Amino acid sequence: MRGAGWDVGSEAKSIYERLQELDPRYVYLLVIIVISLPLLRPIGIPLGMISGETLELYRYIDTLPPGSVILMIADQSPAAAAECQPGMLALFQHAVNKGLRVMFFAARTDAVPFISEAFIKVLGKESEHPDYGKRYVNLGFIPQYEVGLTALAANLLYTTRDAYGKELKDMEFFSDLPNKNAKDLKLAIYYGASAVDWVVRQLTDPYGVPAGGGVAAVLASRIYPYYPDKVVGFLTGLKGSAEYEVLVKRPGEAVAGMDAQSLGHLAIVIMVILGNIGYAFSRRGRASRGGG
Amino acid sequence: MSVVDTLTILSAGAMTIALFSYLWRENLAFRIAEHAFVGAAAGYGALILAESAWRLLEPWLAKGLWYWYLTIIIGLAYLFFFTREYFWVYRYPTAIVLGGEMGVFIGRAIKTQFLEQVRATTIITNINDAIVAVGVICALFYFYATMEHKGILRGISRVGIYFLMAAFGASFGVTVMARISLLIGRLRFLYFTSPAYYLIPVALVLLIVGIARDYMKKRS
Repeated sequence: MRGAGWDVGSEAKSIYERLQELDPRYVYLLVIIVISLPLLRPIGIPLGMISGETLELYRYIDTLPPGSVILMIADQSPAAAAECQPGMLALFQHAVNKGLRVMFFAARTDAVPFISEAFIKVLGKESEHPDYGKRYVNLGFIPQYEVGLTALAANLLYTTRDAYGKELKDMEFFSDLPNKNAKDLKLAIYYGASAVDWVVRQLTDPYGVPAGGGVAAVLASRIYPYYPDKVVGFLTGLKGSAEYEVLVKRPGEAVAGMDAQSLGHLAIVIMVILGNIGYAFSRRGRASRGGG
Repeated sequence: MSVVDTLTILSAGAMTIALFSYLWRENLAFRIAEHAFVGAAAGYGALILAESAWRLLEPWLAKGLWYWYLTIIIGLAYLFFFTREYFWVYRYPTAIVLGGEMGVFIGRAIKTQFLEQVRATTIITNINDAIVAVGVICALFYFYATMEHKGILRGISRVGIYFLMAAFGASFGVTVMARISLLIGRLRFLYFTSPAYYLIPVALVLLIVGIARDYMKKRS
């Protein structure tokens, strides 16, 4: 792979033009170095103010009475897990601390292991945990995204068995739920990078279940139209996850990655500025030489 | 740590480095890792799908509800995709699935994503709401091509462009944030997971040898 500017002509080029034609591999190398250094030697850049979206979600969960049921929808691919998984762990920890009941399901096949990881890291065990079936349930993978969610909303026991093959109707978790449908949910939290829209469409509007999110940063701009009316709050990427880890006093992977995130951004901002300066001056240089 | 765990971590580290090696240039290690990832993901996905389909179906079949067997027949009809003569059979499961999805989606989407959003945009209670309303109207007007954008209309259209650019800029910013997070995740794995970090010096040596080989080739 070569940069755009390897076809060096005979004409002498200004520094700005050479900047425009820099081999992108130098940029990759710089980004890797800038991100690696704070990972290997943390510098403790302050996280700054906790964003309103994160704080609202925290406050909403914090005010739920013990025993309230929340649904956690794992839709994070391995690619999005670096951003979403720390948030899922922190939110699950908060729910456990508050004595809430949590029901998980995976909306995509490759999100299944992330639910197991959440159980192991927060509770220490999966289905062997004494509160499994009482306060926590893992429904496993439910196919067909929105159609699957619609079926689940109409009947929380529609899968009949959990991810480990246990009968749902025998579980204490569901025994005192009055409706056995989405009306019994107090919150539905979506984790992933594809769309929060279907959660709002199938749970929030028809059943009045507030939505939340622990989403990849690319999805954040798609959530804002629903915030704060339908989505009570959400975690944006690694930063949102780090903020929630701080709120629940469980600093983990997201907090550890924030130094690198901040310096990585700084490097990219500087490169964008340099690239634009180079572009502006090289255009001016070409124009003064009578070029286009 | 068991031998299986060690091998799993080593292969995950090797795959990560092999995929990163594309940043240097396309190479055999990258190709192998790419194909292995696609194959493993497809195999894993198929297994989970089959397992979950059976988990959902089996209780109904155990109750003797015969009509649930129809779902198996409908599912198997997808395989006619691979025949020329009976390709039309494949259209039935496709139509059933798409029809079901559309039925679930369209009605709610019109309410949630169109009517409710229009209503929310028209309710102005603070300065943010006003900015959103102005932004929506101006951005929509930018795409209104029935009337020539002259005079005040040109101004509205320009404001629309600025709002669109701000939105694209924000999307770009969060996309960069997402990509950096991914890189951080993989680098943390490589740096802090034993024995994956032993692969880093090996990878660096291979990279230096590769660069030196490229350089020699270029000179000769």
